[in-house]
Formats: sequence, C-alpha cells, structure tokens
Amino acid sequence: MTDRKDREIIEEIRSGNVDAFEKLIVRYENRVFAIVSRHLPADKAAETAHDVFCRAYRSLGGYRPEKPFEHWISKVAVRTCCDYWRRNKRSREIAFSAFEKDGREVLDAILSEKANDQYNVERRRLHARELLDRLLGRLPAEDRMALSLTYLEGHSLREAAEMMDWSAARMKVRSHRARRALQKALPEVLDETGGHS
Amino acid sequence: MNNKNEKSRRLETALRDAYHHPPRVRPDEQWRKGVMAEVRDAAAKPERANGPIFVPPVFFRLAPLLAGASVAVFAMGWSAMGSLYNELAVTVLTNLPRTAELYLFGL
Repeated sequence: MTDRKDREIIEEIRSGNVDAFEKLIVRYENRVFAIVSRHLPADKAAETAHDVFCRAYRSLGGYRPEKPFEHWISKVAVRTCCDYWRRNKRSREIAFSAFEKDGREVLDAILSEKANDQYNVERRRLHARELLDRLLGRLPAEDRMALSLTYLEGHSLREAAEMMDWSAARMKVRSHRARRALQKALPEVLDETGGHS
Repeated sequence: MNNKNEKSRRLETALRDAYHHPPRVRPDEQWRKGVMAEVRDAAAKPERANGPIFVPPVFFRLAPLLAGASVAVFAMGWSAMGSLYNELAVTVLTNLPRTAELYLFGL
C-alpha cells in the first residue's frame, strides 16, 4: 500500500501541480542512486538517475497505489539500468590480464586478507569492482541484470522477475546461464593472472 | 585444486562485497534542478508524452477506408486478370497452328 504522504503528492501531481514532483525526488533520490550505483559505473549514475525520474514522471499515469511507490520507482530504476546496458552492449572478450601492466598485483590486492585498514579495504573494493565490471561486461544486458538481482543482491527469482517484468521461468534461465558463465570466468581470471596471493 | 577453489571462493566473496559497496555518488541541488527542468518540459507537452508516437490518430480514422480501397483494387485486378486469361485462351484455341508457330519460333 502506498504511503499516505506519497499518495497525497501523487494526487497533487496528477491534479496538475508539476512542482510537487520535486517532493518525490527528495524522498526517493537516495534509493534510486543506491540502485543505479550498484548496476552502473559511477560516472553514469547521476545521468541515469535523472533518466529514472523523468521516466517515472512520464509513466506516473500507469502507477497503481495498491503497491508502495518505493517498489514501483525501484522497478523503474532497475529497468532503466537494463536499458543502459542494452544500449551500450557488452564489451568484447578481453582477458583480465590484458588491461593491467600487472594483473597479478591487482588480484593479490583483491584476495589479500591483510587489508584491514580503511584505505586498503577501499582499494581492494575498487579493484574488485573493476574486475566485476569486466566480468559482467562479457554478459548480455539481460543476463547481467539477472545475475545482479538474484546472485549478487539475493532477491528471489520471483522478486527479480517482477522487477524486470519477466516470467519467473525466464529469470531462472537467465540467472542460471549468467551464473554458469561467471563460475567459468573466475578460474580463468585466476589462471590468466597467475593466481598468487 | 583445493587451493584454486579456495581462491575462487575468496574472489567471489570480494566481488560480492565490492558490488554492495559501490563508489558513493550523491544527488545535489544542481542535479535536482536538471531533473525538474525536464519534468516541467514534459508536462508542457503531455500529448506527446502519452499519445501514440509512431502512428497519428488520423491513421486509425482512415484505416477502414484504406482497407476497403485495397480490397476494391484487388478485386478489380483479379477480374481483369480473369478476362485477360479468357481472351488468351480464345486466341490460342481459335488459331492453334499460328499460336504454335509463335511459341516455337517467336515470329
């Protein structure tokens, strides 16, 4: 059920007060930025979050208040991210080691267990994020989204399917295929970079 | 092998951790203004935003008329073809030797 405050704001927008939409932006911008930042590179987050709210405004006529607005705007955000990856296709198959002067050093930083201070934790996350982007970049947009929603975010197949407006069977096939591709790619990364820690 | 599996598992854990801690990007006033400018722009032309984009409504009004016209043209073409075939059959049958000559030697 939609929050009372949200319902009032949406009514206000529907009755012609466009400026009331800013209240919805303020209420949900953090949520949208969090979703978009997980799915897309950091430099595309603001631009895509902008698209999410514009798309939400244009689709507001189709919003039904039986479900919380937060769920609805989250779905719009996830689908906008998928559209981004559809437009930007998948990157060509390039070996991880081909990107770095020393791929082994990067992998060591990711696998290091000594990194306990904040600086090293951040550095490790940065490298891991870069590697994750490259691995996900090998997948088609739909598989990438399926893997992110089910495996990385831990949504159930049904929840993930609802977010993408797919059937549960389609989500199952996509996420299974993507998971298999990731499991195949991880040992390859370890082989290509030497796998020392 | 076990060592490799262990590394693979650790790598997977590190990737999941990185996914849940993306670099922070925060919305600011400038960003909000940009969104609102586009929203106001969209609100100023609601028909374009909500109406059919590729097919104008006038097409739907003319569609039955166009469909009727195509059926009529098809029927006319069909009957014309029928009479042409009849005429050809009569010509062939009434003057068979000449037709054979034309067919064989193209004279």
